[in-house]
Amino acid sequence: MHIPDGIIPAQVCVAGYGLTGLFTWYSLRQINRHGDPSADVPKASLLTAAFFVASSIYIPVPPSSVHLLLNGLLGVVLGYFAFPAILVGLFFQALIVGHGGLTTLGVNATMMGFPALFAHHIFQLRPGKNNAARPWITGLFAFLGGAFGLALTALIFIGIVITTVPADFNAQAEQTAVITLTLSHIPLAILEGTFTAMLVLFLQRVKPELLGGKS
Amino acid sequence: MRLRLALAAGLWGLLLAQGAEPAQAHGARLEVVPQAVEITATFDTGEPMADAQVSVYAPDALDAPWQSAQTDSDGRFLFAPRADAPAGVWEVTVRKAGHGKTTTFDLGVVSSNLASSEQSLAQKWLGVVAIVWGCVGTSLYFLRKGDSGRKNLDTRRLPQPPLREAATATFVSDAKASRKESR
Repeated sequence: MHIPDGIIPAQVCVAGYGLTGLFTWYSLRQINRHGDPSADVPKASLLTAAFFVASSIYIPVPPSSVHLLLNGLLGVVLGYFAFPAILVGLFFQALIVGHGGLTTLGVNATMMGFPALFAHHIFQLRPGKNNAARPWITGLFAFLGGAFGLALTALIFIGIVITTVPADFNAQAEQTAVITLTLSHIPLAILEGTFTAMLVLFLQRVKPELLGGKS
Repeated sequence: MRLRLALAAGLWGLLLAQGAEPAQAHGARLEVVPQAVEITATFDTGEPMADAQVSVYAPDALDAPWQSAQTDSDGRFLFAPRADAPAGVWEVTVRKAGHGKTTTFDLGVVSSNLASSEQSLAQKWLGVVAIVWGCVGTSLYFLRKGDSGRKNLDTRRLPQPPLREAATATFVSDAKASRKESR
């Protein structure tokens, strides 16, 4: 799901960096508004590590395999911290694991970070935020956040790849391949949604203050 | 199987070429180029990039591909340059479903530099472990800092004791200190 170097034109890369700058600024501003900004850094840091490692974990979905993304989960658990966390995670993935690239860091960060913020807002829509008596509602909204975070990323990925196929390549073949790849992300979205719901329900039982009621 | 078929076709072509009259309209010519560049594309899981699109660019014309083709089911593509192919650094791009890579090869040199820039598995793992440990360390650092920060905040918020009590407290602590010294 990461766009590597040399696949998309330079203009799109620059636009990606521009949008990432905007989202980072907005996220940091939101973080700074709520009390002590360093209070959530331990949680964000640990989930950055989880996000960094997740892309190396492959799940076989015939005919090929897909890797975990966890951006929806980061959005649900971290809120606005998810965007900088994903940005840092993607930077190290490009550097160490070879997923994505430095020229496409902006595009990838927007592609995964924006859906993470979207997932955060889905989770914040849940009724009775501090009511631990109805865990299934919390679980349902966590599932929706985790699954839609990934699904939105897949849609943005299709949009970017299909509209930027260079003239030297057969656009039809590329579109078919992209759609096949994206369809194989549907089971992954369900899996990540379930995983997010399980983690959120666990946190709600063990340490509910980690989920926070603030937006 | 495919190789055998190709050989059979080649032999048949050779026979045709040798046995044919020069004036015959259906004469065949075979040109054998012993050098071919083999390009193998795999995902980082080791899975071959089957049916991926390949574009090969000549050193003097990077704006339009010299040849476009597809990889086979093993992710392989054999590039056999024609005799008039210019020498120099060629570029090859393999792309499938928004994934792919661009690399270069030198037509004058037999071995390509496809794998030279790749990290070894051990290097990769070392990097992964280092990054994860960095994140855990950051987390632990901020946890400690957060605790001490909260303590400082709490003491700052405590109401100041009245002057006399403060003086007594100082006196008591002084007395304790002097007792410790005398021991």
